[in-house]
Amino acid sequence: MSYMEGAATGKLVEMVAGGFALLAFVAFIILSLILNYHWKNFEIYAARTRALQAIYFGVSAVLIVVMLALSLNLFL
Amino acid sequence: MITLHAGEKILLICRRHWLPIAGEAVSLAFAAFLPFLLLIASQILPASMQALINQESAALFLLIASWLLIIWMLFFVAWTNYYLDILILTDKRIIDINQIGLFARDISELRLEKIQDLKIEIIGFIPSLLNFGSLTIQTAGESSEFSIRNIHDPNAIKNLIAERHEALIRENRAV
Repeated sequence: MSYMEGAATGKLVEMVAGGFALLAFVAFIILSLILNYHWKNFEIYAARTRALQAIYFGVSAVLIVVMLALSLNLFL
Repeated sequence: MITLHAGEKILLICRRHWLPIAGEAVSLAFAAFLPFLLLIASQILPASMQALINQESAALFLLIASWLLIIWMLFFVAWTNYYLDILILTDKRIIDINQIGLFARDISELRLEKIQDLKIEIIGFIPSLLNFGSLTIQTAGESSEFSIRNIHDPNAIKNLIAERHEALIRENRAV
């Protein structure tokens, strides 16, 4: 693979990764609203809802921070 | 949210068996590990491709982190569908909440005094081993059959419903 081809493929990989990350983030916002609505309205035990939210949003926050750091590294 | 009648008490809340959700969790765990397996497998690629992977490692890790976020969300969608799918037995009613999907929820309700017959079915090796099956309730109402699938220990639930049904009939006769 020539240098030019490598650079073009690299740019394409970065664009795909950025687009995929943006798509995942938008899906996260929409699905989190829907899931949170279900947990708040249909769960019987309030304490469990809080634990559930803490686990879901805690792990998601870690992944989003990692995604943000990698995106800043790539595009800035 | 389920609203109980005045003086009504919840006797039992049971969920469907964990086996189907465990199957989904294993598939999703495999999907989560897939990018790492592909990274390991990339060692056999030509040197020029490996150089590109090394050069674009930040982009690849961004792809992997996004993939993990999607898997994490899919697991919680599956888990929510499992967790909110419940059977509630009160001292007056049976409420079956069937969470079919995030936008499909079916709630059936049956008064205990309408029960005419109770039937359980545990079919197959794994259901017998793990003690789960279906419970069918014949009723005197318009919808004559009420069926709940894949519940844990259907025999104990059937006995509890039968016990409460008898008690309710005795109470009604005494009044």
